[in-house]
Amino acid sequence: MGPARAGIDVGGTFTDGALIDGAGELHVLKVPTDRADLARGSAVGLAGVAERAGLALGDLGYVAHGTTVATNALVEGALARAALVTTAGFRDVLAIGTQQRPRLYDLQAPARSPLIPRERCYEVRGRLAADGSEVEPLDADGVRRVAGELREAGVEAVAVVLLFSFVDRRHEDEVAAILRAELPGVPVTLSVDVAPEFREYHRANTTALNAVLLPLVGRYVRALSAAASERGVTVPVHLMQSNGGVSTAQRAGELPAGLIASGPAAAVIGAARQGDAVGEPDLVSFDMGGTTADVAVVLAGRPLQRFQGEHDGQPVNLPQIDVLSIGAGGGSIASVDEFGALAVGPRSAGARPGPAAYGHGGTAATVTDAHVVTGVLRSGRLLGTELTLDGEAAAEAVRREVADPLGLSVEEGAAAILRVANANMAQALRAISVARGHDPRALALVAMGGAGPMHACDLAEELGIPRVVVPRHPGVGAALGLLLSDVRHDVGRSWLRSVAALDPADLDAELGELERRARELLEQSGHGEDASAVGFELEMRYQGQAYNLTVPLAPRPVDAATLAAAVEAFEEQHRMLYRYTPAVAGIEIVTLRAQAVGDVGSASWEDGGGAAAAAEPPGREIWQRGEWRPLTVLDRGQLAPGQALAGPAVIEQEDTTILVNEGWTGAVHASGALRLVKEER
Amino acid sequence: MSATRTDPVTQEVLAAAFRGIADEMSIVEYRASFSPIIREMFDFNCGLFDREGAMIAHSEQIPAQLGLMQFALKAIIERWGESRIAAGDALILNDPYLGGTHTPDLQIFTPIFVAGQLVGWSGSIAHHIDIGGRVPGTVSAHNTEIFQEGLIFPGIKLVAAGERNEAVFELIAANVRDPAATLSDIDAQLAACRRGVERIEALCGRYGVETVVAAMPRLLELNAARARASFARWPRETVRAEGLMDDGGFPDLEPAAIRVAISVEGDRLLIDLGGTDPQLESSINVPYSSTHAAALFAVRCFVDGLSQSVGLDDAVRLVVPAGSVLNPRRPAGVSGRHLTVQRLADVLVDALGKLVPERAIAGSQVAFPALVFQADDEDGRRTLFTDILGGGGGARPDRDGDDAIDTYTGNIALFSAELTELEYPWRIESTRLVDGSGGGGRFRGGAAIRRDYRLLGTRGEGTYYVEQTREHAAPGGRDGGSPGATAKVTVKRAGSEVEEALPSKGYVNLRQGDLVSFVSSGGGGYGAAPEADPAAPATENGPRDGV
Repeated sequence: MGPARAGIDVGGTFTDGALIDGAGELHVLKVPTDRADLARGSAVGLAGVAERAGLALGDLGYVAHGTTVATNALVEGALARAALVTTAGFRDVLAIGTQQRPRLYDLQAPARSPLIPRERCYEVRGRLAADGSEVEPLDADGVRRVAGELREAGVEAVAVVLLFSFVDRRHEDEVAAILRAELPGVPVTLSVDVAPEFREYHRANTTALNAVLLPLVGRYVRALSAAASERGVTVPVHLMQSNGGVSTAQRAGELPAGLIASGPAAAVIGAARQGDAVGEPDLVSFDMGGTTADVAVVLAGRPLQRFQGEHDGQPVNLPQIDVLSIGAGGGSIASVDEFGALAVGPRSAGARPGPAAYGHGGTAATVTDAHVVTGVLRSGRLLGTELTLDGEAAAEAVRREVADPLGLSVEEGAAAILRVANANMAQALRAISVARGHDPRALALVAMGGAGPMHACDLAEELGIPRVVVPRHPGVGAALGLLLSDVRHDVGRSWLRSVAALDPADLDAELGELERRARELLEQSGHGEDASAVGFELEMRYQGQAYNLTVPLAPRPVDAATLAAAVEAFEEQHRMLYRYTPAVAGIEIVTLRAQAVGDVGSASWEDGGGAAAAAEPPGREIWQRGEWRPLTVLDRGQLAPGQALAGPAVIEQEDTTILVNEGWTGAVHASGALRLVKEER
Repeated sequence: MSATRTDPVTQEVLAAAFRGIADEMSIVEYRASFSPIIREMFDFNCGLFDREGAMIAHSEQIPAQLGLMQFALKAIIERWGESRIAAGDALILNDPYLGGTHTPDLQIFTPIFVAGQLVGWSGSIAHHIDIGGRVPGTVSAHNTEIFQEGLIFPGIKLVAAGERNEAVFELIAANVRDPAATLSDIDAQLAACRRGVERIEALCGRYGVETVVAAMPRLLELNAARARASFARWPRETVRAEGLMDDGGFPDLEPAAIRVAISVEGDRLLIDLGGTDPQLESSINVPYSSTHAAALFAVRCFVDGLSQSVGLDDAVRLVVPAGSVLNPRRPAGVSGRHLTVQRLADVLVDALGKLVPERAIAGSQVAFPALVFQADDEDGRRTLFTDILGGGGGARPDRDGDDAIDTYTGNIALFSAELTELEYPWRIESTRLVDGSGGGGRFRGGAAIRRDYRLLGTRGEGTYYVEQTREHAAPGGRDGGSPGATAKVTVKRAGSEVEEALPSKGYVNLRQGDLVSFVSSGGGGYGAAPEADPAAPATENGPRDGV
């Protein structure tokens, strides 16, 4: 076991820390986020978790950080004054977008507004054809004129997006050289470096997002590194990217658009690693907090990826973990409309006023209140350090908002809220598993977040998932994921070729170029010498389709056999997803992808454990299946590795409550995780 | 079928499941599809239906194709009778006079059997790039009868008990201009329908057939109840609106008029289109099912929480005289119907805005420039290229209209310029917002789009149409706002610097180097401009960077 490793995840409400010390013991921390100074808050949080482990920051051998700084900037519109420089005729590419409306039946809802307003979009003459040949040379004088206008306009960053730069980057490079010379100190980002793929709007929007985030995120990572080293951290701070790998702070500062889903990605990695630790490499990650539930599928320890996503209504074409987020959390509000339809979420009571049971003046009936009424959450129980659950308030809210309007008892009303919330989440789980060809019966469910472990057994039953894993610290899954992530750099480009007419040597040459670029990024992040690997994937489709399927390609060099294997994998995947093979024969490669993974060293951990638990005295009951039923109540802190238990049971711990349904048995793993298994019937 | 009344919680759980299944079907369909009109532009929808053919859930790609599939399915059920429907069947219908829209929209339905019992239907509608007929792409405003509009499927078995009816597939292949794309897209539709069947089967396995089946009519009741409760709160007055087309489809025909009177009768809404002009000799007539779709679209814009299912029929009474533009008699041509559907939606939204002023909006573009061009590249390879332009949205009581959107019952995505040049012998030279095209006023209408297409291939030809090229048909201003700018189509022949105007709807032959330009219309303005001279042109009022 090497030196201590720490992860610090700064969310909107809480900052979570996790640290595995030299002896393999795991330490965790949860403190309110320092919203006034996120960089300082991160460093302070890091110091806090080190202190818990009895270490100084100088003792840390590895530090990784998850941040919402990019996400918040996008959601709050705190974006830099950036400019777009594009091919003549396409100045309005961002404003026009896809010409689709966000809400079809709401004539008053405004369309998505562009990341860079029209008045800061500029055109330059010069055009390449689809095959990369030059139709019109670049007008260098025109670029200089634009540079003058950019200076005049006081822009803070520039996105350069020229048509067909993914085929040939020379015009974008020329524009960049001129702009950098004319505008020293202003960051210039090129579409060919950010998202070298066809479909100009999506590439332009992703590049524009990078530009509008550059100054802010650049400042943040510098402040973060400074705050960390001031407090004695001697190693570079790594940042979690949306793709589930970390990169150096410097690289993150150059590709801030890659941080847009940093937090959810870290949580999925946390689920993947903790699943792996208990022998579950194939799983669904289910992270349910106060407002949202995030779900993702992990196969063979690797989270499934997608290459396009939408964040706050903005398309982002960058590799990212395929996380589906829905508005279902502990704070989700239940309501019955005048026609007797019960809805739960996506509106949330948040942390303030929060559920009625929090006693902060909330009157809405929430999922948390339903758990209090049904007895999963004990009235009078202390949540965290400052909050006592008020059972009366919860019951009153559930009665007024749900039970009375539906003519149900308060317990039935609460059960109804939970059923509807579970149905919404089951729908999301189906969408990422069954709907994508992954049979949930072959997966385990890893439950995280404060609310996740209360819903895990119900959801597993609904989907036929046979096993549930509840990590020892479900509330700090992202922080643990941070310190267990690899360094990862994705590079790729559009490369449209028919497989039938393809010389494997040409493909190999292209991939060689990507590999060189990927290794260069690894080296720049100080991982060139580590055990590192470059993997390749091909995005393919039947000629004429638009939606690509991604298949792995064996290590280089590419030859006829490895290419044939990729084609076979593609055909198999198409059959699995759509259950037929198109009559037309042609298959084409659309995009080449390479991932450079730098192994930052593995870590395993053990839970200190405690004395064998004594069951709470009988008398506690829970409302399930229409009646009050006795159940076992356990204290997580008292559970020792190896200990077995059986449902119905509730296990309480500081940051969550675990509901073990009847028909489930469980055992505590050495990592501290609880592994629950549904009994065969 | 069953007197079981599903409890409200199970009801909500199943409603969410039905919606999820329809969404999953739509994902299967667009991911597996081959034609850009489906895979890039999303001109399709998927739905689930009860045993009698009422729509209970649907995906949300394009409103123009919703609120009508039930007519087609009911025609199929009537034609075959339940006894002749078997598990593993797939039936195809596109006949506009049997619940179709226009012939390129193929509807495919698959019955769902659980334990030998018919419990419902799974269905898909998708716009195919060409289904044969007089012109490439099938659609033209200038067809004079349905028989010029390609293959007509009256609800026949494409697949019978799992066996593909190869004769039908061969007939299709022999009659359409891009058989590989059409057959592959039909396969994608079949895959989507099968997915719906599998998912409903699984749902019945979890909740029981009785429960699942009982939840279906209740959804429709809830939908209607929601609408009726809203209508009951609306004022008791009759509001009217009318709109004119550019012409009658052919330039020498008088502009066709759509007229509506809307009133609330108790808690039902009466939409009376009785004043509308008689059917036309051109093909911009709208089959009844599409008229119904436009009416439900408009109602949904004014009542929250509705789904576009037939449960609304209990709440909305739609009166459309037979033999009119909006309910023509066979064999009138209908392939250009979407232009008139959009105008109809515009007129209905205008009228409903008078009943519910807080949701009023100025006129949005219904120019809908659309083209299907066939071209040969240097190697003699022939392709069919299609594109559709959005335009300006109408201004609102408290904000400007949206720039560059596909409005009302449309929601087609703009085709990528890079994809165009990668896959077709065309180069898109520019795609811009049109300065000054939004109508002025207190709030400005949204801007139109102009797109320029250069033919790189050796020759090309094809149909196109654009509405709102004449002042009388421009997107209307509201409450003192100015109308949006009109649309147009022009050509600049290779080697010439002269931009020639083309007719608003027509057929064009092109040579290498020719440049065709389409310009949509801008949205209407809302409210009088505070200090502006009312006589000043709309271009003076653009508050945002000249747009």
